[in-house]
Amino acid sequence: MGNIFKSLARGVLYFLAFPGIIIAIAIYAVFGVAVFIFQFGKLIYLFFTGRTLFSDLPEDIEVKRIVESRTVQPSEDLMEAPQEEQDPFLSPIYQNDYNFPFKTADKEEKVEESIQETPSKDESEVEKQEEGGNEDA
Amino acid sequence: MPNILLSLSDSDKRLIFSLLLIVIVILVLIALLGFILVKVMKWQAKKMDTLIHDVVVYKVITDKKALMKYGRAKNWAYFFKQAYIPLLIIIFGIIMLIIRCSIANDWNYHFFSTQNGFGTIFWTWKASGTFSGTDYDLIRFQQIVLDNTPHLVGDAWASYIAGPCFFGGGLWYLISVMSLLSRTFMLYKRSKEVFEKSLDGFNQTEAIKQEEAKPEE
Repeated sequence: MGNIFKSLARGVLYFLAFPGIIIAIAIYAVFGVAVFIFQFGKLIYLFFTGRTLFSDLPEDIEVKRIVESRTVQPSEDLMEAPQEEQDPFLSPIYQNDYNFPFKTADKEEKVEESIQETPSKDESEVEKQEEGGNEDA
Repeated sequence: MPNILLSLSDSDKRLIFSLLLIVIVILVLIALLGFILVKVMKWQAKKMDTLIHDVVVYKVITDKKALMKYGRAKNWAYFFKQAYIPLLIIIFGIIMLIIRCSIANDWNYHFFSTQNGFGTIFWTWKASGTFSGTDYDLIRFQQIVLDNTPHLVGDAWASYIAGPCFFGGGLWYLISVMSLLSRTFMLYKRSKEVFEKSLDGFNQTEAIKQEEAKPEE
């Protein structure tokens, strides 16, 4: 409820101040035209001196100088031996040549045979042990 | 006065109520517009902080006068950047009107005319005679009659181009002016605040005592 009255009071205040705001804006609109003409003349003058209206002012140059002096300089070692930048086009290309043994109707039998032919690790170890035992005997 | 209020008919009461309602609506609308204007100006004033921030923070400028001079230069340059497009739009509209006048050799052209001007595309009304809305003849109103309905006229081509240019460009230019005004206020405020020296709560005797109490290094 308090907020409503606050808003209403502010509304009345704006209503009272509204003519003043409008007059101020109207005066400034005329003043703005004068500023614009002045800035336009300045722009033309600066153009012939090789600058623009938005060039840095002496204060801006001073600020930039301070900022540059405050930035961390790289150490001498790094300065003497700069890191070689690697050419992205010369970077090695890795190609994956592994083919998965997809089971197709034609190759299914061949794959099964190859699996049976290659003995598993456990089987080969058992065979070796048997051979060793026979030699001892 | 009470006698008049008591003897008011229903139509009179209805009329007074509607008039009051219109007044309240107008008040609310103006207050809302003022509220929006102030909000927009506050928002635009923040740009001035961006423009003068570095020179103040790095202590390149150390007095009020120099800050005002620097801020004004920045503010005007920024205004030029903001306002040149709307002003070019307005100038384009003026050129269109000049071309029309020179072709028709009619230099007394009325821009808002309902015959061959911008008024042709609007509903316009005119007042003719008076009438009384109440039983008493205390309040009298102008008789309002429809004068024009929207229609296109070939001779008014320049006003059809220039009208939107003036309206759009003018509104855009006014927004730039508002931002110029708000930035100027902010510059003045900052130039006072940034270099302000306050002695609130300072006591010289206490300060001397504290200095004396410090152990000598």
